[in-house]
Formats: sequence, structure tokens, C-alpha cells
Amino acid sequence: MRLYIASTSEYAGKTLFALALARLWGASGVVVRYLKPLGKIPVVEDGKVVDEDASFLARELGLPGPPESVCPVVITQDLVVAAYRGERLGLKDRIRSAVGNAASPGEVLLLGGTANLRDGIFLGLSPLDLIDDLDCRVLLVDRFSGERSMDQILWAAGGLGGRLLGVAFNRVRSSQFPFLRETVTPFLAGKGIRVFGAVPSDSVLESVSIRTLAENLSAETASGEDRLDTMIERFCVGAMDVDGALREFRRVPRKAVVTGGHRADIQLAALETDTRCLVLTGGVGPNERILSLAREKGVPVLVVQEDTLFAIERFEELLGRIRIREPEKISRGVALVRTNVDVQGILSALRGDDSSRR
Amino acid sequence: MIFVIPDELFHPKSIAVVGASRRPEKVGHGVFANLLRAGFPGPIHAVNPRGGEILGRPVLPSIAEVPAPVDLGVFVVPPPDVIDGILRLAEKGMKAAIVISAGFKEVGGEGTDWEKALSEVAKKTAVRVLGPNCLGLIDTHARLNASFAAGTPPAGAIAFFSQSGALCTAILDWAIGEGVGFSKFVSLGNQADLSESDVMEYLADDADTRVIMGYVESINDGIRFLRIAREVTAKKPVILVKAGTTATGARAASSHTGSLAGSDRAYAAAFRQGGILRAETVEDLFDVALGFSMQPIPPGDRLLILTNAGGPGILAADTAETLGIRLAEIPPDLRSSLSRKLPPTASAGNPLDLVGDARADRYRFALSVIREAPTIDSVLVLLTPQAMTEPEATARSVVESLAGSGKTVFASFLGETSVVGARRILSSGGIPQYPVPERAVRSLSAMIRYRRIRERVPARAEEMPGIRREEAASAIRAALAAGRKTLGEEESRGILSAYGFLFPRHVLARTSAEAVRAFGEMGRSVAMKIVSPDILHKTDVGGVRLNLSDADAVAQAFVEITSSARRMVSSAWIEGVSVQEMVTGGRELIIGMNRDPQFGPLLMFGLGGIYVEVLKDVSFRVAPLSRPEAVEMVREIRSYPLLASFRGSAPADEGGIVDALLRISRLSLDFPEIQELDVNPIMVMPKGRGVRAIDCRMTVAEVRR
Repeated sequence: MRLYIASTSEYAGKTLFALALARLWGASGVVVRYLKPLGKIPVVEDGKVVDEDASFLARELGLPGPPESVCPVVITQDLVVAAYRGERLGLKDRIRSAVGNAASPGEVLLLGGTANLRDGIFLGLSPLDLIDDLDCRVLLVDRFSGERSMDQILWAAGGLGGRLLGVAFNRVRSSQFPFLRETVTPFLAGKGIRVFGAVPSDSVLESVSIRTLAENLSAETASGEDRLDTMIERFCVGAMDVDGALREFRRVPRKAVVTGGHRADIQLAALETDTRCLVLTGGVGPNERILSLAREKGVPVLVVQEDTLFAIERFEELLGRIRIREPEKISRGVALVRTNVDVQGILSALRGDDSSRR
Repeated sequence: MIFVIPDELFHPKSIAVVGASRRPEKVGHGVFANLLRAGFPGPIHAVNPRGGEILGRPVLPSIAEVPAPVDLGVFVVPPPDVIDGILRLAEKGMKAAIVISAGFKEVGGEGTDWEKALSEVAKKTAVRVLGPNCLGLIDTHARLNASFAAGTPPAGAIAFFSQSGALCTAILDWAIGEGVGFSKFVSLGNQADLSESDVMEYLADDADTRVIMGYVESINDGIRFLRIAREVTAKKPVILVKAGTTATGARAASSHTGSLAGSDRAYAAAFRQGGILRAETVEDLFDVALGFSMQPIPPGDRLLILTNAGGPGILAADTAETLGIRLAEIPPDLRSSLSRKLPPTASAGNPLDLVGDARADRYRFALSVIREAPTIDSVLVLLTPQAMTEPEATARSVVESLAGSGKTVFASFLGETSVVGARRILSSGGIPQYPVPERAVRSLSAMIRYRRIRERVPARAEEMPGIRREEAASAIRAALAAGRKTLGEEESRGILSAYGFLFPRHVLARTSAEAVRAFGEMGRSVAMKIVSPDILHKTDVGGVRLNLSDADAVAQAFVEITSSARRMVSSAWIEGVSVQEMVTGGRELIIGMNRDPQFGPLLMFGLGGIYVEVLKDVSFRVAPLSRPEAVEMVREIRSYPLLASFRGSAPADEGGIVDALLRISRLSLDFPEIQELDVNPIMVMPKGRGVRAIDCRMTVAEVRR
């Protein structure tokens, strides 16, 4: 039984679903394996190019075998140039044989898809062809965004036909739930598309650690080295007067505040509110009083050489593409899938003994 | 009454100076020398491991040698020795310590740890600590000068405390030069233990002090400060200069003190509610203090200006009117006795102009008449040095004629060289004298304001009926549990309803057909507003339409509002449009609350629309709000007359607004979680019909209760 986890956009939550389904089905006695046919995040581990996401999952799930067995094809510069030159790559064969070895009959094999159902065509790895070729069923994960989601889902359903088991929504905001339940689900049901559930938008899952932040900003840590694993959910920029800053800072929980190193007033306002990290720009560190207050409150202080605009751009990049790595996020994510998604329904549909399957 | 400050701080029987030094350039020498010079009657023990003698006094090599008991310890040693010294002297009965030494929080790093250790040792030993990093203190009446200031000011009735040591030295220098008398002089330093509020509380019952002055940069516990200020100002006047009123000043204060300066609005509101007279400048501070320390509080606000020249008299009259001081009427009989003796060019009005050739005897005559006038509460005597003028004899006339008259007397002898002697006579005769009349009038105005402060009824928080507290509590808990800080209109409405606010009927419409149906059920004109968690400023995206009174207009408005929101905020999630019953016949108001880091809930009130946005015509108060304070808040705004009677119909329901303010005050005290709150707009209906809240927003945060 092969379940291909596809999505309609980047960062929709495929990794989260693969991890959660493997854990939750595994707990009920099903043997679940994982494989990512085409990896797009190359990273060198033990001298070999592997996909970062895939090797993370392999570790988390305790899968046997070398890294390349979990991700037979990883996009590298060489591979891309070879594809442009029209060289014969034989990637499909590599994938076919990896899939064949990955799971025995009776076991469930989860296949992690690319960002959408077109990614990979260039390399001769059209996701739709692969799904057919490998005889997979498909779970479509969608980061809910109203009618834009509907366009993507209906297009995918058209291409997948009977192979699509259904849709699971992710990062759904509380105000969207009634509409999703009352309007979207019946609409999709009318089109023969089953909705397995909707995972709510979650502040823990959508956060990054101060350590990741510091690495991405090439920041120097002025204090709080021991608290770099604290998670940041949002960020605020302090470039206004103190009253305005305080107003803004109060509205945003669990945040990092980016401001100039010389703005002691803004830094104090930040420390007065729910701030988990101070990011001081312009290469100016905090004054002694701020530093001791930050230490007292356990708030790490990062200093970056660049200006505030640079820091904000990095932040935005980082918070837009969140990956699940930290143990806190993993357990939270799995718990959210368990309570909000009909995982047994997906398994039954996959096994084909589900009456509602098209 | 038990004070935080032990009496031993100002009236010790014996003192130990830890770190007294033989070398004149050391602070430890200055402090010891000042103690000796001021003539402190009890034993003063100098402690220094080097031993020997200082200024002919033996030096004890260690604290162990200091004979018990010691009441007060003065420390001029590095931080570790301060901590150790306090522990050892506490065993010898020490009750209070003055830590002059620097090297604590103000230097950061390790200093912060030392400061923390100092607060802890203070707590543990119950020794109350002034400082660290301060100039010390002076009590002229107790002949105690435990400071390194350059000299001791004359004894007097003004007490002064300051968060800036440097300002202390400057003011002391000035006071000694001008001969201005002080009762106590306290430099607060870093306030590791004792704060401005503790000092104020102590000074309120200090028999030597008639007026309290202070310089503050920031107040840490604003709530306690306000409570103590209310009590103290009922007994004697407190005049404070607050530095850091502008954004630039506040920024400087923040980096200087390491504490977040609350908004100046909060300080202004708290000072006002606490009855504190706020001086704008240090000059102002002393002008006002001079008046309070030398003269009785005027029994009323009727002022007579006596002058020998027209110009200064007019300037004084102008300032008086600007500050709301009435010019006194001279009773007809006294006016005619004045006219009989004064030259025909003189004017027996107010200002009472004795004209340029007035000598001392003419002043004396006029003052003897004024003295008898029951319609005059205060007198300002002006003099410009002219050819015939006798400044010194005139000064003596002023002192002698009005002594014991019960009237408040101020003088302003203009000029310099020819009036120097006269000024000295006035000062020593207890008449405050100012170089220009405007400054005299401003000081008088502060005294008149203080009379009203002293007479006011103590503020009491008002109990409001019909509050469903638990309902609000569960709504706030739910939002916090979901990790949200900003509450939407629906949730905010629930909380405010639980606190007795009424809202018009409203329905969420997802389609134009639903909107039309809702309109039909309401059967009258409606307002429509976009509902989206992603849109904070509804009007900016064309998300609000008012006064829609037919079905076609409602359907059209739905299309326009949702299209506009989609176009302008393309990523926004649109839930629909709220159709609300239109509230008509009222006037738009804004009520808000913003939690100040020092003073807690700061309430704001104003008339909606341009009055708030363009004219910034708003009033502020700190919660808890008493009913009289809420009434003041409403009446203080410049646009208040618009509420009294509008559109030619009945006046607005002022009682309803006051009630709403009191309910917001209660709500913000009941839930420290609420950081900010805006009820905007809230409509006040004609008298007797209350208020209707239309829109509201709230920000919450988790707080430790």
C-alpha cells in the first residue's frame, strides 16, 4: 500500500503529515515506511548528498538502511546541468528500485511529494506519472487560503482521478473553521472529494528557535546563550516612539523585537512585554543596564552588524518557511493531527475497505 | 502611623562613617568633615583600616571596634564592603544606612548583582537603605549633614528630594548663596531600597517641613506613589519637577536610569489626581516653594496688585487672568479713603497704581488700608526703581504693614543694583520676592490651586452594580489559552456587556442576501462593517457604511465593502459583514484604556471624530477612578460645551458617560490581563438615555496575579 502525500503549495505541511501518520498508524500496529522520491534540500551527511527533510524523517522514524534509500534522487547542481544538456539520467529507475526495496507487501509506504504536482517534470519525474507508475493513492495537503485553495484542489483532483483519497487542510485559523465546516466540506463532498480534517494554525508549529534566528542573521549573542532554544513566533520592529512601541509590543506575544542598538527606550519597552529575544542592529550592543535587565528576565540579546531592514527581510524569509525539527514542535504537531484529522479514515480508505471511497 | 523610613535616618543618636578618609580629596573625608562641621551633637565614629586620626578625631580600624549602639551607618567603601558593613553594624543596632558609594546598578554588569545583594541584605537585616550612588542627606534642624555636598544650607521649611545627585549639589549651592532655608535634603541615588514615595510619606508628618519639593526622572511603583501622594498632599503641598516629558527627554532618562519612562500623560494624570503641583522647570519649582515656605495659603483667590508703575501692574494682571486668578474689588469706603490721600494721577483700582513718585510712606499708607479689606486674599507688591523711589524703606513698610494680616503677600522689586538691599529685607521679613511679576503670580496661582487640593474629598473607587465578572473572566481566559493577544469585536463586546455596556443589535451576514434579511428584521436604518481578523482599521479599507435605510442600498453596500476589502487586503480572510442597528440622535465619544508601566490603567476620554484625531482634545486619569474624578475627566475637555446642549435639543447624558468611565475603571482593575481597550465609538444619548457602545477592541496578556 503506497500513499503519496502531495500538496498544493510549498510549506503546506507534508512532512508534518508523513510524520504524524507514521507515528499514529505505527502505534496501532501498522508497519509504516517512508521514502521521498525527489529531494530538493541537498545537504552533505557523511560525505553523501542527502535530502535534509528525508533524512530527518528517517531518523525520527528509525528507518533502517543508508540515507540514499530514503531519498533516491536529490537535486544537485550536477543533476540540473545534466538535465539541461539532455543527458540520460535514469532517475525513474532509481526511484522504482528504491520504492521496491522500501517496504514489503502488507506494510504501508508513505511517499513524500514535491511542493506541487508539477515540480519534477523538468527532470522527467512528473509527479502525476510517478503516482500512476508506482500505483499510489494520494492524500492532498492544503494550507487553507479560501478559493485559491479550491482552484488547486480541483485541478489536482482532475489529474489524479480515482487515486485521490481526499484532502486534509492545514494552518486553518480559528475564524475560518465554521466556514470550512459549513461551506467548504459540503462543497467538496459534492464534487466527490472527501475532507479528512483540518489542523488549526498553531503558534508553536509556526515558530523558529532563537538559535536558528541567530544563525540566519549571523548574529553575535550578547547574552542568553543558554536560552537559544526558546521559540519565537513573530517579530516586531521598534522604530517608533515608546508609546507606540508599547502598544504594538503588547499585541504580539512570544516575539523577537528588532531595533537599533542605541534605542534603549524601545529595548526597555520590549522587555516590559512578552518578548523572547532582542535583536539589536547596526552593530551596537546593549548598554549595561539593558543587558542586566535582559539577563534578569532571561531574554537573549542578539547583535547584528547590518541594519534593521536586513534583519526584517531575513526574519520574513524564515517565518514564511517553517520546518518541523524541534522535539517540542514534533510532539505538538502529531497531537494536533491526532485530534483534528481522521487518520483511521485515511488508513481505511488506503486499504480500500472504505465504503465512501470513490 | 508606622513609616517605611525609620526615624534614625534623620535623627540618629550615634553615627558610624565606614570609609572615612584622612585625605581631603576623598569623598570619605568630605562626608566626615560635613558631619563634624554641621555640629551633630552625638558620637560620630570614623572607621578605616588605616586607623590614625581625621580632623583630630580617632579612627577605628574596624567595625568590630565601633561601640554599640549605632543608629545610622554612612558608607563610603566599595560594594562588597558595604554589604559586609551593613551586616556587621546591624548587629550593633543600626536601623538605617546611607550608601554613598557608587559601583552598583549604574555601572551595570557585576554592579547589578551588588545592588541586588544590597536590597537583599536590607531586607534580611531590616536596615533601611538610602542610595546607593547618592550624595547623602542633610537635616538642618537635627544638625545632621551626612553628605559630601559643599556646605550646609540655612535651616528652613522646604524639604527637597532628588533622583539626581548632581542636581542636588547645584541646588544646594544656589540655596546657600541665596540664603534659602531647607529642612531636609535627600539624595535618593539608585533607590535600591528607599524610594521617593517613602521619603514623601515621611516628610508629610515632619514638623520641620512645610513644603515638599522633588526632582524625579521616573517612578517605579506608580500605584503606591499615587496612594501616598493623595495622603501627603492633604497635609502639605508637594511640588515636583518631572524630567523626561518629551520623547527625547524620556529616551535620555531611559538610558540614564534603565527604567522605562511611562508616558508623560500618565505622569500628568497621576500628579493631578495625587494633588501634586507640577513645576515645569527647576526655576518654577523654587519660585513656588518659596511662596509656600514663607506665606500662608491664601483663604481665597482674590488678588490685589499694588504698584508704582503701570506696565508691570498690567503684566501681573494679565498673568493673573490667564491663570484664572480673580483681581479683588476694593470696598467703596476703603476706595474713597485711598482716593482722598493719593495724588490725582494715582488709580485706586486694581492694579492699585501709586505712580512713579511714590515713596515708602505712600506704600505704607496704601498697605494699611489694604490690610483692612476683607475682599482681598492676597497682595502682590510691585516696585520699579525710579528717581523718588525708596526701595529699602518700602521693603520695610511691606514687611511691617502686612505682618500678621492673614493675607498672602508676594513682592516683585524689579531691577537689580538699586533693589538688592530691599530684596534682602523682604526675604528676611518672610516675604517671597521675585525678579519679575509674572513669576510671583505663577507661584500664587500654585498656592491657590493647593488650597483646592487640600479641600477636596478623598477619592474613593466607585462600586458599580450589575457586573458579571465571571463571564468576562472566562472570555479572557479562553483568548489567552488560545494564545491570542488581540480580541476581536465579538469577544470584546461580550466582556463589555458583562460590565454593563449596551450595544445595538447586530448580525453577521455572509452574503448580500443575508445582509438584506438582517436589515429587514431590524426594520430601520443600519450600519455595515467588514468582519475580518486581518483588517484592523476598517474605515481605511472602505469597510464601514452608515445610515443605510433600504434593501437595495444594503445589498449594494455588502458588495462594495467586501470588494474593497478584497482589493485592498488581498490576503485577508473575510468572514462577512456585520449588520448593526444604527444608533441615531447621539454624539460620538471615545473611551480608552492603556496600561502604563508605572501607573497602571490610564483612562482616556474624548469626543469622537476630529476632536480626538485632529484637535487631540482628550483627558486622562489613572484608575481607580472616583466619581468626582470621572466628572472632572468629562468636563476637562475643551469640547465639553458641545455635550452640555447639542443640536438645540436636550443635553447629553453626562451621568451615562461618567458611569461608563467608572465601569471601564473597574474592568481594568479587575483584569490586569487587559493591556489596552478602546470603545470607539461610543454614543452618548440625550439625558436620561445613557450610552451605547458601537465598536470595541482589546489587547490582553498573561500576567501573574
